[in-house]
Parts: sequence; structure tokens; C-alpha cells
Amino acid sequence: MEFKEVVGRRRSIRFFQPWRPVEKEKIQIILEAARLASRAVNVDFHKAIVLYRDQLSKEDLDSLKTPTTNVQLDTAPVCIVWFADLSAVPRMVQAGAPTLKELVNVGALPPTHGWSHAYVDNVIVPQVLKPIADNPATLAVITAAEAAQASCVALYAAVDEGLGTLLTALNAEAVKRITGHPDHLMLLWGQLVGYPAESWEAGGQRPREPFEQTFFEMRYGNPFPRDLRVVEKLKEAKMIQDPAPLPWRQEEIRYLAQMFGLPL
Amino acid sequence: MATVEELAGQESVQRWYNYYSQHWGAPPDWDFKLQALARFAQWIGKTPDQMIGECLREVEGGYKKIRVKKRRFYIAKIKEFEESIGGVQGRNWANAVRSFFIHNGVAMSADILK
Repeated sequence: MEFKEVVGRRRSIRFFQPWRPVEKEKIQIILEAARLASRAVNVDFHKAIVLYRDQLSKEDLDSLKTPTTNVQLDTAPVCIVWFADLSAVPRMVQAGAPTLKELVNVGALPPTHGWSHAYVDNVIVPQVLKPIADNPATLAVITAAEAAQASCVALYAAVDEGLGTLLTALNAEAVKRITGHPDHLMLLWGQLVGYPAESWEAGGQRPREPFEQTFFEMRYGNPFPRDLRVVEKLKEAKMIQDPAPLPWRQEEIRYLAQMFGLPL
Repeated sequence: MATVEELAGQESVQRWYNYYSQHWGAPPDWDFKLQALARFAQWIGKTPDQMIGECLREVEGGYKKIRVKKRRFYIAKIKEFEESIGGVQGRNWANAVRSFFIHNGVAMSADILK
């Protein structure tokens, strides 16, 4: 699938085909994509644990749910649990930022931009990373933001593989009990993955704030002008699609509710 | 025990009808939904307004906060109610009751049918 269409087709899928497993190869592709996500100072801020619904006891599966995530967790065969690794920056500080130095070595951070091992040793580690590592609030915000980038790439990789996906809240205590993850991993969310039981359109592209209210030029409040010719081009490329609600969405939900025996 | 007509006059039942209708149109099976709620109300010995009142409490700013333990209680009771009837009929009756809670702001769902 072309990149623009992948972006256009992504939306949160909340009904999956519970009977259809996801090929392990596709899960690996999702993880491989996440591994290549952008990250600051070349640190692995993210960790993920793949849970297979059918290998969880009913009690464990139920314990992961919140009142509005019941159906998606019951139907999705795979849940990739994403974490922010709060030990990533402190470890980097302690080790002298070897993965950042690797970027210097391979020419990704060149001297043309002021980069050197000495700069990493004298400035980045003690004056940038250490203060972050020493401030729990800052550490949590930065680590979560960086780790979230990986899960975002994972979402698009899943769409590209023809799967339905969404990020969903999970009960943190249950995740801890089930996965046995160490305390330095902070739960972000679960990425559910499966084949959609609803149409891939899932009712249409979601409403968003107007472009001009989100993006600015030079100064806050000065809208970035939206060129309608570009919008038309993106419609042709299937990045901008028919907005929700598509006319048949309510009927679709009625049928899904009936199929799964759910309340309306 | 309240009749279906008396039930329909309860604030929480009107809220259910209004919110449901806003998004889904007037429920064609409204009589069935009311009957199901009446049966559940009788089974549990509470009026609809009492049930919702137990699950939500007013907090500062005019918002309503869910009492988690009460919601858990009603989720379990609805399941029990469903099982006491059994089969597809039990699911349909229970789902009508769940719909009543949902459109009153007490989020819940059901296990999918397998």
C-alpha cells in the first residue's frame, strides 16, 4: 500500500474477527517497523510485550479491561503492550551514551553540525541527559513521548499489513501481574491487532479540528494556509477520505451488535 | 412493583430514551426495552432512578462520577439476570438493561457471544 493511503486508512478498529488469528510474521513486521522509529539520542525508549488473547485465561483477559474496552479486547487476537522504559536515559548516562556515539561514528551526527565524542562526553551526557535522568517528572514525559513514536509507527505498519488496529487503555495492575514487567517499564497502552469485523472504513475518516486551527506559520494564531489543490491531490492518493459518519455506519453497528450480542 | 407506565415516567428512563433517540432514532422496540427494565427492576428490587442514583454521584462542577464498586455490582447482577433467563432471550433482556445504564452514563458492555 502506498504511504499516503496507509495514513488515510488508519483509524481505530473496535470490532475484530475473533475467529481469525494474526500471522506471526505480521506481528514481527509491526515490531520491526517500531524498532526503526525516530527517537532522541538513539535510545530505545520503548519496550513491548506481545500478548495472545487465546493464551490468556478468561480471568486475566477480563482483568485487563476497562468498562469500554470489553469488546475490543474480547475480539482482538493480539495485544501488543507498549511501555516507556524509564531506565533508558539513566542507563545511557551511566554507560556514557554509547548508542549516541555510534551515530557520531556512522556519520549520522557529523562534525559539520558540531558533533563529536567529546561533545557527547562533556555536554550531552552530563548537561542534558543527566538532568533529565535526575528529574522523575521530566524523565517520564520525555520517555513516554519518545516511546509513543514507536507505537505510532507500529499502528501504520499494522494498517499496511491489512490489519485493523487501535491503541487502547489497559488495567495497569493486571498488565503488571500478567507480564511480570519490571518497575522501570511504565505502561503506555495496548495496541490491539486483528482482522477487522467492521469494514476497514469503520464509519469514515474521523472528524478533526480544522487544519488552520492546528497548524500555524511563524507565529501562533497565524494559520498555515490550506491549499485546496493539495487537498484534492491527497483525496486522489486516498490519504484524505470520506469523513465519518458514512451513511451506513449506524446500520453497520446494529448488525455488529447483533452478531456479537452486544447492547446498543 | 412499578408498572411499565410508571417506569417510563422516571427521570433515568426518560434520559435513556432521549439519549438513545438522539443517536439511534426512536427505539422501535421501546416497549420491549421497558418490559426488560421493569423485569430487572423487580428482580433486583430497585427503581431505575435508584439504580442510577447508586452508580453516579454528583461532584463539584456539576459532574457526575461513577461509583466503580456499584457499577461492578450492577454488571454482575445483570449477568446473573441474563443467566437466570438463559439463551438468546436472556441476552436480549440483559442487553436492554445494559442499554439503560449505558445511556445514563454508566459505561458497561457484555462478553461477546461465542
